[in-house]
Amino acid sequence: MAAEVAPRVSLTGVRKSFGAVRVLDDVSLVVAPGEVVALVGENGAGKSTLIKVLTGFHRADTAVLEVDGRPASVASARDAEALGIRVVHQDRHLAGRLSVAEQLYLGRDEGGRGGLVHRRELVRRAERDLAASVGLHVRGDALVDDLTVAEQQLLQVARAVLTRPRVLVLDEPTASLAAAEAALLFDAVRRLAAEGVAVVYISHYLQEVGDLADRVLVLRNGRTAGEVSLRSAESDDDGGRVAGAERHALLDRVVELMVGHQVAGLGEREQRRPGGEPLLAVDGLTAPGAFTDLSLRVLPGEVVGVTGLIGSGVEALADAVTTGGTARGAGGRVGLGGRRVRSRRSFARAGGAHVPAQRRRDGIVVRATVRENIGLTATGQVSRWGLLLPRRERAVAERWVERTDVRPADPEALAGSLSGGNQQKVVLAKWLARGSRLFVLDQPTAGVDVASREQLYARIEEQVDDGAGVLLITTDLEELVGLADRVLVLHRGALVAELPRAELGVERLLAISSGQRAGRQGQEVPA
Amino acid sequence: MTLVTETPAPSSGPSAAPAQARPRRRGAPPWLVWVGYAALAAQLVAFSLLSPVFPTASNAVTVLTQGAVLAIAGFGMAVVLITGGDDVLRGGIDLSTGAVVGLSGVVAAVLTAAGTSAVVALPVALLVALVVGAVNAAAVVLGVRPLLATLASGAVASSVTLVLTQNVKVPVSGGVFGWLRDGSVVGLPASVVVLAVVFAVTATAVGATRWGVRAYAAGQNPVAAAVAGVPVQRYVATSYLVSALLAGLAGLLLTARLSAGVPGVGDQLLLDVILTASMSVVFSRRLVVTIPGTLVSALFVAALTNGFTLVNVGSQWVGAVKGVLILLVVAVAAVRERSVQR
Amino acid sequence: MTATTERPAGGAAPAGARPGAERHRKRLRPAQLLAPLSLAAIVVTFGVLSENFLTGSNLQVVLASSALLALAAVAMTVVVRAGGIDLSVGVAVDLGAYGAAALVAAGYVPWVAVVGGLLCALVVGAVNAVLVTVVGIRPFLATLAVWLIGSSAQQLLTGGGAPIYLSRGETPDGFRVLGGGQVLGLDVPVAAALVGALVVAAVLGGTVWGRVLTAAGDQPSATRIAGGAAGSTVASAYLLAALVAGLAGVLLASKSSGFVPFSGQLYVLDAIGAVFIGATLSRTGRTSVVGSLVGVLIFTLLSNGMNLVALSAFWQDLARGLVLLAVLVAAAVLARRAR
Repeated sequence: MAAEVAPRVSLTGVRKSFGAVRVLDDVSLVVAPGEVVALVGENGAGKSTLIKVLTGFHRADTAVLEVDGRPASVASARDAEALGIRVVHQDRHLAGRLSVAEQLYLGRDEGGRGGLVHRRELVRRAERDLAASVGLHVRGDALVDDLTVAEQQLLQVARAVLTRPRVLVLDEPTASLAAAEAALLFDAVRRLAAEGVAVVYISHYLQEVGDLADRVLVLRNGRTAGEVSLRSAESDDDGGRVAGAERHALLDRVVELMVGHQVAGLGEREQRRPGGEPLLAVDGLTAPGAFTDLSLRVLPGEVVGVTGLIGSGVEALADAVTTGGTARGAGGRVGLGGRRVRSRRSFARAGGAHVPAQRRRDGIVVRATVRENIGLTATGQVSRWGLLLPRRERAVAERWVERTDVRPADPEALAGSLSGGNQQKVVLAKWLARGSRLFVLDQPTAGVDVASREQLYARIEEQVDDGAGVLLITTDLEELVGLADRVLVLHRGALVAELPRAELGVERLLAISSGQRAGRQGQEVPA
Repeated sequence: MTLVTETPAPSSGPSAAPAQARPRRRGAPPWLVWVGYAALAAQLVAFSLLSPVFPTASNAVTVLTQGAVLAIAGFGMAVVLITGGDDVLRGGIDLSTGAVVGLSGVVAAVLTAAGTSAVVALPVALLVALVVGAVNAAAVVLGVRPLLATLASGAVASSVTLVLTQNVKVPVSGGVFGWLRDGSVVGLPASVVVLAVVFAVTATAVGATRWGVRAYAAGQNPVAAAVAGVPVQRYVATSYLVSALLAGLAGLLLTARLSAGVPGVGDQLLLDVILTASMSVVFSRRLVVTIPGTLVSALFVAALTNGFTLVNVGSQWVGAVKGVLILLVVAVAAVRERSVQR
Repeated sequence: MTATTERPAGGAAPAGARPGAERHRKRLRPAQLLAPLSLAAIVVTFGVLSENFLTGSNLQVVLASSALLALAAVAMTVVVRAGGIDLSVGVAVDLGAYGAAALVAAGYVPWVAVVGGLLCALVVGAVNAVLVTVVGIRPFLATLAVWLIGSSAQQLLTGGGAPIYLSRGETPDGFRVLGGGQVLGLDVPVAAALVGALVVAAVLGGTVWGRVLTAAGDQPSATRIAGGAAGSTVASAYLLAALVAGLAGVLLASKSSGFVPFSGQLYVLDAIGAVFIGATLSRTGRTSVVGSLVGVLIFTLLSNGMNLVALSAFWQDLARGLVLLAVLVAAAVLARRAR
């Protein structure tokens, strides 16, 4: 890295404690103009806290901040904005009933002269700006609620980009994006970097990090675990970044730094030999606005993956299956273990487990304890004649907290106080405690740290080896390649391909789901 | 047996946008927006058929005059609902509105009766209202649920009204109160003119300014608004001040209309004010509280009371019919909202 | 901008590096002590101001006068726990009283009157349940509308609001004992309130129904996905609340020898206040029967004490309002500092 220019932003010597817990200990983040620095680390490593210090949400115990070589301080989000530091948060922070235009300029220049809003002009300006900044084409007067998740995420990025930031922080921006939408986002990021913006990119997806970052800063337990540069003096293509096997090796090094020891990735394994009557039989399932006439089977002992771009219908699949296609305007038939699914309740009763995508809203009850969350689902195990058996409930909770390695290992902890990965373990634990046999997993590891992921995968594989079935709905293609026995690809509301394990590959799946290449012609999807 | 079909392959690479120029609007179907207006029209037609007096100009003025107090207090409530959001327990609501209407009217009446000039009495009354608003604002910003904070401050305000009057009504006459009651500006009654001015100001502020856009954002998603740099707490605090100020103004109008500061009269108004502001959702395509919607709702409720009196239906029916009508209208909004949420 | 930061310690603390978590969690937050301390302060203050305050007979008076409010507050607790609010709880009390009084006046035997009163109250609960869970109206507006309709209904039922009086002679003893008798040394209403509170507390805390209710109150969609019957459970919460409120109404009819329209409305706001004062007892702000009873005691002791020191009614209202406001603000301030 050239040192002749002052770094665009330099935040050094950051220490921060919450009560007795030190969450950041002498961490530094320095980014040059035009540089893309990836910030990686497991959940709880301190990434979010570091960003919150940078953007004025938290006050560090000690920290030195310089922007373009000049000392600066941020005590509030406003200060950060004034310095040109912008964040795109992982959660979509949008007001649903505002128009797209209002939301795009909210808090900035919603109005014309004297604070009065000229609606029509605002709408036109918004449509222009969205198209130019992130390639998003939507109506400026549509409600934010009317956009898809991906469109909302891009809208949020556009908000940040439009303010001509000097420092742009992207916090897990692709968690809810499918590959093609993510590519749009990457283009926008590269363009900004080329204009001299310093970009901090937080992600769990190392592949993306490898594609985008010049340098990777790894945090572990609140400290700097190490830095890995992805630039090389020799390489000229791709802006002087390393590629190929060399990059692969560097990313492996990043993983090591993150977890502090070498981990085995999703290992190669044999094609499973599932057999018997189908556990899950979906016939002619239709979800309004998402997909039509979809049929699939999940046999005992197999993991069936489903993927597709956001907007292809995948995001509606879990709800449609677990409600048995009984929502308004929906249709079709879902059978589970020979019984027809007519409601979420009958789905659960027939042995179905639903691990939903919106974990905090749908997966756990945040104000309830881990024990209560488990007891709510595993009612048969913890009650008799409708009466709760406290000692039994406690024992069941303790057992499953231990087996899924929820941390802290305390059944009385509030579920909402756990980290994302641990919350997901609780979601899985409650269904395991209930003894479910068919798992519908919807984006199960979005926002989940690497170590927790490994644990979740291990529990799932145990269940499958034991004869359970899994419907794995995800846009994380590496996850599919690692776990699934066969993968169905949705495109524009229809099944377009089925790939057996031997033919799985990230690039191939990406190509098919983005509609670039069709599945093997004439290949049958078993009905 | 589903056979895999060849997908139409777009020629562009993976970085191409999903080719969808304009999103389909998933909002409420347009005809549903008219249900609220249809109910209003049906009501007007029914009363006109039943009573020849109802559709006259002078009766229209009566309805407007009666609706003015409700509407102005309703605008304040609407601002609180907009800025505070619509969560059942944590959302914005101002249960002290009724008490403040009563308190401000009584303070003005007591001062006037004691010989204070109106130039002093009216501002003092509004100031007293603002004090209640400031207590609400402080309590809510400190973290008390609005429902509870305003419930408690409202209880305090009504008991102050009783302490001030010893539960006896305080007559006022002449002066500003006389003008508000009987005066007119270019042929329009003074109270209607006041309503028009207040409506114009609040409707513009909420519907067409930066402040309004940010207030809506603060109410719908406070975190999002804060992230966008909107000082949410300041907006929330302001909303309670606005609500108290408008309630205070409504109280002055009410005292003028009744020619007396009447203790307890505001408490009866509270339900109507809440309903007026909440009902405004029905008149909005976005299903949000609006100021014009509040005006329409206030006139709806005022016309209802007026109409029942004219067709000689016992007062005990008014509450029941009001309740049922409101349920119908709100139910339509609820059903509509569900269809929006897919 | 502190208000916008979400629970910093939770997500950001290094996993596995919190040995103090167990202790930290069990530690009482200052805000949780607020309601008990207020109660103690009221007892001490009036104990000093009036020598009659801390006597056995006065205690009985306090309990007797808090019984009906306690039942109303217990009813409110159930609904708030289910994520709603019930402004029509006063209507349920009134209809319960009306049903019982009217049936006794018509010469029916006491148990028919009691059952009739409870059924009248259940109608209110059923309407609320349908409006909230089937039609999908927000609880605040739905129960507000029911309050309006219920008030009119009372006027219509009583011919414009005329009270029903039950003369001593024509009231069977079996009915009079409900409001004026004693069991095990306790007034019947007090005993009924205690039993009602115990049953509801047991049902909320010790059954699957209570667990589903609590979860559905917080996060309906998570509850449904977890396999719980969120809709029907919330609906039954409104029925249970109406039943408990109806019981208060029946007792009221017996106690006041008749039915005065709108007398139940007096309980609504105090019940809401008591429930939320009680919610400060929980670390997550969850409402509980015990907490609500503490809130009820705060209100009743305050009124009783002010009566004893002969404060005028207007000033009493003022004092109650100020105490409620003070407790709520203090709880909020303490909770905020603990964060």
